[in-house]
Amino acid sequence: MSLRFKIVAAIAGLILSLGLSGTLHARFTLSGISEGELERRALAISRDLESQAGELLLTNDIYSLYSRVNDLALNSDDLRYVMVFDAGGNVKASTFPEGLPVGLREANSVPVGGEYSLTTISTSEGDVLDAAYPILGGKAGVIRLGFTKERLEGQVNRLTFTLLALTGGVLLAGLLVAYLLATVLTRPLSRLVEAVRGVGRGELSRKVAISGHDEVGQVTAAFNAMTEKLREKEENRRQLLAKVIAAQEQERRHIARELHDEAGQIVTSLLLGLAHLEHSSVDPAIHSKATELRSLAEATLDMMKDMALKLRPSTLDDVGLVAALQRYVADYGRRYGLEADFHSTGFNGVRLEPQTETALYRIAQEALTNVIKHARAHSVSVLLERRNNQAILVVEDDGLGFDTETLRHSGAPAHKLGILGMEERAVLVGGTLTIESQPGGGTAVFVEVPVESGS
Amino acid sequence: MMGPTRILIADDHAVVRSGLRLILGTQPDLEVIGEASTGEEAVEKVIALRPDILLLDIAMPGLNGLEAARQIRQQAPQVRIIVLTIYDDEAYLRQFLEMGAAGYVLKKAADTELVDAIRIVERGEAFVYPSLMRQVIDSYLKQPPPSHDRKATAELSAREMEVLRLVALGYTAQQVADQLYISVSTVQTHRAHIMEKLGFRSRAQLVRYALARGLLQEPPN
Repeated sequence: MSLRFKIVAAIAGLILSLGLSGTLHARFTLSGISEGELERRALAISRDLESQAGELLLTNDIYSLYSRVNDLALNSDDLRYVMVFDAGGNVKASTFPEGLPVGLREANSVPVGGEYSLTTISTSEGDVLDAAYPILGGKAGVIRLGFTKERLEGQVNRLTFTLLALTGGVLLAGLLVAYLLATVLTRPLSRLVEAVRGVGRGELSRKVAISGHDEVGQVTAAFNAMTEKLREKEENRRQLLAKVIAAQEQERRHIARELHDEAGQIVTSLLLGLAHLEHSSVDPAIHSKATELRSLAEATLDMMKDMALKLRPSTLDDVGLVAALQRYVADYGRRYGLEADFHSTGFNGVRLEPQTETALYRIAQEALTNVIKHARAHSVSVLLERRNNQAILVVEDDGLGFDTETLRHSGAPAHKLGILGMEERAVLVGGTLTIESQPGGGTAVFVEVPVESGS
Repeated sequence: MMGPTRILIADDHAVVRSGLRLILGTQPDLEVIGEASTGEEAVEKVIALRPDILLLDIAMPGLNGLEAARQIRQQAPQVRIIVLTIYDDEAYLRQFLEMGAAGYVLKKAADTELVDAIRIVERGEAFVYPSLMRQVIDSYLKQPPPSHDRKATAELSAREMEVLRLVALGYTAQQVADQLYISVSTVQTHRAHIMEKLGFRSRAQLVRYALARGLLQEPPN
């Protein structure tokens, strides 16, 4: 659930519960007050009528009683009916010219010794408050008055409606305010979330604009400081890695050169000296010993050359990447007994930057080593293409292949590190590395490196 | 009667130079007229002494063998250069032959082949160490034959030709799919069909084929 939703919902809930409970309370209070008021009026009118009706009944002035009852009914618009009974329970006067409605007489009565009785009767015309009041303590008869509660209920309902409408209005305004508030609060957070995701993808140069000095602003500032630190760290790591790799290559180049050009030359001289001895000696013992030593020297020389080649082929520096890789692929195919095919286009003797050549050579080497270790391939192609301002290396085999996602997450550490190493080498010379593979469908490693255009 | 063949030895190792003197000393018609231990010295002495033949090492401090050979070819083109090295890589051979060297001899075989090489080069012919010759022939034979089975091209559909071109240009399956607005698996299917129709097993074969067909020119954007 988003923060925006929570804020809006909380404010809406608050307004609604306040409005509704207020309305309910007001409605309850008002109807209580009005009801009491009606009851007091009913009793006052009853008492007033009783004081006159007693005498009129005793004098049996039915006409005056009747007109009195009708006046009363006319003057009070919520008075629905008036009935006057004598002590025997006969109707002496009433506002019902056609006779009493069935059941009305029995609906209310003054209990024995009671002062009066108030009760609410449900009728077809709504609730009616019925007051029964004894005349002269009950000796002369009973007055019955009926007040409709409709008007009173109408008032309460109108008030309720007004309050509800007010609540609705406040709710609408509240929602608008809450939405704006939530937007103001969450916008910097959304920006921050987006930036955090970006950093997660490795975009370390991301910065988020600081929106103020509030808590969100502080988090943003802390975030920016953190990414800056991370970027510095990453930069340092890259530089260090580049340095380590360069040092390693330099060391290998140096040792290979020493093997070849220093130690190798001496062993060669040894070889030539022994050859001379072999040819010029007439003593058969010396001759055969010289032959033996000569083949030993030859084996040593071959071994040294092989070592130098494995460390770093001198052709990579002296002739170029194409020649070095061609030689490597040819040796590789022979050594491991698989079809290893090399092809290059677009070079025509053009050299790339030394670091780029070294990186591509090492990546190809690693990729080919992986083919032997994991792919069980029958054939492998190494392509080197130079076009416009790009150098492209493709190492593709027809072996087992693998699921690239699985390897990334749960592959063998050595294999994963090998791929990571290739990626790092590519990135260090400004290139990208892509691996396409699927189980059973072979594997292709692509490296694209920007190079100077033109020839 | 012609005088002996005059030879200059350029190698940074004294032991090698003395070994070579030893070998050449057995031949009365060959005369070592001087030695150089760096590339610069070799160039100077070639110009000063005008030898018939220069025995040149590749790896020397300062000016290396290749650079020295380039300068000598410019300043004293009549001097025949025999590269005498322990590098048995065809790539070096190719560079020196392009540079105009007349011979390429491995040091370890100097005792048996150097004298022959000098005599052959002296006659104006070229000498290449036999085991290297094998590599030269192999790489010559690896060039695609000029005419291929033309029928095969006709069998490829237009879409397959497009896929073939992009695959040969080194695009990933994803990039090919993006360019042609088709799915990666469709690309793989097309590719499998192409390989099957042409009887190929590797991407390198596809590239050579596409190259021979002239498919690799980028279309104008």
